[in-house]
Amino acid sequence: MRFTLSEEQAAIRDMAREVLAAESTFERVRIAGEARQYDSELWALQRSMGWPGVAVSERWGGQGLGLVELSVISEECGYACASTPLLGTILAATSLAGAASNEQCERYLPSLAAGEFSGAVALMADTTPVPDAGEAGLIVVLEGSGGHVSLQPAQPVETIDPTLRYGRVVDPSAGEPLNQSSIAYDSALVVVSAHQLGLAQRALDLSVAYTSVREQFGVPVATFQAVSHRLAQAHVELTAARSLVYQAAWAVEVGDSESSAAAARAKSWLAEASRTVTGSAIHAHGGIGFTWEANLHWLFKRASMLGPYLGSARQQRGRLLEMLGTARTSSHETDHS
Amino acid sequence: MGAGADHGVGRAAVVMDLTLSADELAFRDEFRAWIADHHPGSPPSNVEERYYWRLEWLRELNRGGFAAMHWPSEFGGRGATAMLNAVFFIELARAGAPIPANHIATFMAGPTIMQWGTVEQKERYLAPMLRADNVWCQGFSEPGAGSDLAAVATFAARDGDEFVVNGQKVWTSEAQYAHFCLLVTRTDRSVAQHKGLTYFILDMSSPGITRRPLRQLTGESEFNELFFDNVRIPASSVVGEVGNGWRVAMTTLMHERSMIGAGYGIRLRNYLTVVEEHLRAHGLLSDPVVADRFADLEIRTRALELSALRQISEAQARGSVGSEGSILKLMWSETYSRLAEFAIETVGPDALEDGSGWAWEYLRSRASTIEGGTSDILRNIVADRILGLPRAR
Repeated sequence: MRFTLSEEQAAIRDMAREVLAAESTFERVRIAGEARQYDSELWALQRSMGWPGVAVSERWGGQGLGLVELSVISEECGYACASTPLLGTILAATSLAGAASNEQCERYLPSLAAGEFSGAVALMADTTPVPDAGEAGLIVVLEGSGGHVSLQPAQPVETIDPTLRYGRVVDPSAGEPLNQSSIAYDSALVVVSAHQLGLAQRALDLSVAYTSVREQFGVPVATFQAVSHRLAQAHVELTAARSLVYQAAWAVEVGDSESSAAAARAKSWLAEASRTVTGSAIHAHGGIGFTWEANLHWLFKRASMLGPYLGSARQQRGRLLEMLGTARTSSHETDHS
Repeated sequence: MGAGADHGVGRAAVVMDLTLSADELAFRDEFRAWIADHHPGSPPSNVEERYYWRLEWLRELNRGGFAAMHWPSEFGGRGATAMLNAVFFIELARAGAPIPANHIATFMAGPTIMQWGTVEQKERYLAPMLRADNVWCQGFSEPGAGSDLAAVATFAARDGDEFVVNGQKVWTSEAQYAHFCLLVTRTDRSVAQHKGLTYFILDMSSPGITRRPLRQLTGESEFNELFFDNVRIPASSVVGEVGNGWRVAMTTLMHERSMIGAGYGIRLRNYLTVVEEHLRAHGLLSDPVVADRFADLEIRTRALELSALRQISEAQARGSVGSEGSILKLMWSETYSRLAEFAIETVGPDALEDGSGWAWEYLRSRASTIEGGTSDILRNIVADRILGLPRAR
């Protein structure tokens, strides 16, 4: 058993971290957010690096990597709070790969992989604002037994997070039908969870850096346990988060029998931990944390928007319990999973 | 992506692999078959009988060659990787077999003596540990030195080839059964606190030792007080060197926390299963609040199991064990306490009747955030050593 990123996966992470540190600074995020427009320069860069197609088969113009690699990219985009339609686009590509026919894949995936148009994924009968749907070219709507793919425009929704263009699908039943979509849905949950993990990890890293240098009473405030224990607790929660996200990514990738439960656990945990940790970071910064310039609010706002997206923590726990109940009555215990 | 999809996301090599390797699988099958033939049955209810039953289980495991998976083969172990050791614990749990007694010997004293002990000490002490001929306890904590271990006051005065020990230890688990004690003492009061410590192997049959069981809030006695009145220890029983006790003690504690991930994740899973069976049998999961809280506890338990496996993998990749065991201990104690409280609330009025298993878990869980490093100290460790924050006082 090996539960750690491979050297290649770690290299992808390091590369993405480095590129985004330079090209998705908080200044760039703020400019995009204030203008309520994506950072088109960054989106062009991400396209040129092939990120929209990281996990799309080479057959359709992608890089043919798996869900673990895609999760790494998604996490790093969350870490940088990047203001581009990448999240929606990789969600749409992943969902189509899981739920579309060969013919549909052939029609849509090359354009998505090249970033020629962006995408978004919504759930049937769910009015939660959908990230990147506001300007998406392609909309995938998932539901239990299938779903739809369409090129309809969504109704833009202005939310507390102006760094992504949210929207609501006008006619969820429009477009071409999709096949069975549990793999599509599980993959989407993992990709969103990984993004939320990145948001929270950034908030914690910023808090560690700030409280180590900010002095009160003549010492760095991190020397006070009320402060350091808050950050230690956040680290514990993110340790759990990282284990759940990457196990789910692996499980869905290989089709492990636990994959749907794993995806539900990851999304449930991250929906709460991402908001808690980014919120806690605002507190750890003191008054400055509440200011526009402190930039923590971008992380907190996006974490808040993604929490209920594709099913809230509570909904995921409900799904998990159903799956556990089913597993209890049918097959008994899977090996070491 | 994956199963059944012949299109879409590519079949790139999955190098992260959460299934067992061929070696791990072979061991699992071997051990699973062995347990089926040697299962010790159900535990006696009496605390002392239960201890000796678990000690006999250690002997049985040793006869099968499973007593100390992680020890090098030259000392009677299997030289197993941490992952293989985790598989060992997972299989124990699956079979409903107990964790063998004398873990202070196999997980703490043994590895400490292997690292710091003399050739004579290794020859004399290691093999009998696995045969359960020697039972060990750990004399670290004192009334004035709990979380602040460097404040140890029990004094060992040099007298020729011997040291003369006076003082007191507390919270000494299993001292009532022990033949030897890992003893941390002060030997020099003139230097900085943690530099004046010396680590000994103490023969518990030495004159001048008084053992007094502590009655804990469950009514049982797992812990003891130890009193030393001019107890003489030969200088040849020093582990490491005189004045090096702090470093040797840290070795012991690191090994203590390294076993927590695998062992304690399993304890939690077993308890969770008991709670789930009760909830299902009584239809309690139809209450959406109960269902939601149970699912949350299931996620926390799974997160602990997975984090333990991930830490093992990362430590192997890195080639060293770090402070991450502290995180697992924090996860375990927090989830265990929550689960025990949840069980009391959902089982109903019978749960708190005297002698109820629910009540025992509920009361016992109060120790979880204190024993083996308090949650507060562990958060200090996470803050200092993992996050790299400036040191809190």
